[in-house]
Amino acid sequence: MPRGLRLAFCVVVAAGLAWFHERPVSAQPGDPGRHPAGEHLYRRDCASCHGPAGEGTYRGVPLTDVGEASAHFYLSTGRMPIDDPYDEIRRRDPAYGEAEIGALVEFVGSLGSGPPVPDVADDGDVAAGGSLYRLHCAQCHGSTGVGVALAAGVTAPSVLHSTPTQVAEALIVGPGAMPVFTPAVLGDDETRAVVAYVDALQSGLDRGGHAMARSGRMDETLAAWGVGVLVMLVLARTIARRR
Amino acid sequence: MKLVARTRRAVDKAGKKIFPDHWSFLLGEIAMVSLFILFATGIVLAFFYDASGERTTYHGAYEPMHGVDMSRAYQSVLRLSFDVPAGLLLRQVHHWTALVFVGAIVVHAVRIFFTGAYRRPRRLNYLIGLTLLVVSISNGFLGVALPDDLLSGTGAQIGYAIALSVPVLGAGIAGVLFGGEFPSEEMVHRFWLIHVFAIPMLIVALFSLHMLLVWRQTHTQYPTDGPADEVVGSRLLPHHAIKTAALLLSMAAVLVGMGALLQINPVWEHGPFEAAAATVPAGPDWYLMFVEGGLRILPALHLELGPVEVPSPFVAGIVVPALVFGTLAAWPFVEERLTGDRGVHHLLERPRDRPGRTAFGVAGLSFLAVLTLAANHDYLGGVLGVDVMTMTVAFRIVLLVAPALLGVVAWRVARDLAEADPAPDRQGVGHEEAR
Repeated sequence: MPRGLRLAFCVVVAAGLAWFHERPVSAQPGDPGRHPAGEHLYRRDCASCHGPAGEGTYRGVPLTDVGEASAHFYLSTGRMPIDDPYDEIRRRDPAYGEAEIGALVEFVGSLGSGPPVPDVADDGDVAAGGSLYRLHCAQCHGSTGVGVALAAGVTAPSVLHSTPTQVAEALIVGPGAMPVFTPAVLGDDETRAVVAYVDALQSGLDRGGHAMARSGRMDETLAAWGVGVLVMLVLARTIARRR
Repeated sequence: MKLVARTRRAVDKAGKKIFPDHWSFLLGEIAMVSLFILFATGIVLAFFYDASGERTTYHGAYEPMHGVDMSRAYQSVLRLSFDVPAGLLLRQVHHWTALVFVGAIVVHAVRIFFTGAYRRPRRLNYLIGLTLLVVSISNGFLGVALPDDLLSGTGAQIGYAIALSVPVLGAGIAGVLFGGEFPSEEMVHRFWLIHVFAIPMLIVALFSLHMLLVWRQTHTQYPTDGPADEVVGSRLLPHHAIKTAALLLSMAAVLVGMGALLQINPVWEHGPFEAAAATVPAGPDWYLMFVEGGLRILPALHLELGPVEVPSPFVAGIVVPALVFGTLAAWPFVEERLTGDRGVHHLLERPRDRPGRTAFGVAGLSFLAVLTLAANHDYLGGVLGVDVMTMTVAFRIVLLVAPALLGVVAWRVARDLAEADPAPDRQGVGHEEAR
């Protein structure tokens, strides 16, 4: 970072801090509720791409109306922040702790009017969720949830590591190439059902032994040859040996 | 009493039959034992399978599927998997055994090819074996479709498209085989009839003929120290029979172990087939991956020859398999023409003794291997971090280069090995005629 920019950055942060000192967060009811720690983190780690007020720059999309759901999805799955706008946006270990993520999410939410972090009750109908999952999700994420590479460099990630909240957020937000599932497509009950099914996929619909890499026919082929046929050949050699 | 004595004499005589001992001669027996296990498990599965496409609502032991609309076929497979004691185990053993069965046939055929065992007088038996391979692959395809789940339904849909692509006759073939336009409620019933009656009867008939001819023509063997017209090995009774029994028992143990420990085709996760839904990564069982690979990477060639239309699946779905198996069937006859050797051969050759044949075989196998890998190009692309379209182009290049390159390498290796260690000269035709 050039010296001048660094200086400007410090000035901005200092100004922000000073501003907050004058206006404590929990001040008045009806206030958007800007969180000082959130704003501080935002200015430090996000503003250089998304703009100081979330208005977006050529390096990053506007965050004014993405809402808390989007912020929480990208931060809690470690997809954000990235060091370079050209970095691949994929699941990583989160860069922040829970409190920091909460503060950032609250701040991004205060930038405009986006959907809040969904409150997912764990009473979804698993069977209905399975049908919806196979209809809407399995064509990219796979019926076993393992995900694959799609065309044009797009990858559908595995859903096997997502929390219920993250699944619900992904449906609202439509990260990357994923479509947004509006309430007209998936209503409240249906969203809860899909979330419940993904949770069930993670916590064990496996029967009949080790599921291997869950890549279906590819695994089965490797096991059929690497275990099945190979062991048969060894058996044949052993049995045919003359004494 | 006369009958008993006569039977005893016949068994005694048969028991004295000598079988050569080389381990590679057990490869066909691996396929045979797999076939027995397929019959045994398949019969039990058939008790519980309901070959009906009629719709129903599920209320069985598997809760995540409660109230879901599905075919009776799929419902019966769920019932088999979750309500019938050891049902899932039997289903998994049956499926693993099917994969190993076709694998064993292929390995057996590779041995036959590279040692020249198909030469006179065994050309007919070679063709019977090849037919067994094609018929077994077809039955695998039908069997996989029977659960009527989302993954196999996608495969059946591809099979339907391939059948439709046959010029002029396509619609007729597809209609008869699939019971009307896809998806048809008739399909699983027809597939089931072919899978459990028609093809198994054909397999039993062809296999019996295969064995009868081996018996009558005696087994081939590698050159031995003894006279060329003498089969060296173990007697059928008791030695060889004990080996077969040992193979049967140990293979059953391994296959039941695989069925118990390794999950295969979790149809309850794939869900019931629905025309609007799809799942990834999708593909057929390994023995049809070369067709799937062709469909994925070969250029789409849609021809219109006057009134006759040839849709693009025809090349990868029909032409490529027909070329593969046609070439294999024609090979013994082509080789006779090329070498001028029309003699009878009971002694096997080593791959190095015939560099040309070896090179041809290696080229053919690598062609099939590349197509097989290409059937997984989306999954491999994901693993390598390479775009699917790039993978397609790369596979096209490899498909052209690899067979030629590996064929040349095989030819040179075989020639160098043969120079270092020439074939024994007891391969003479005259000697072998004595047998």
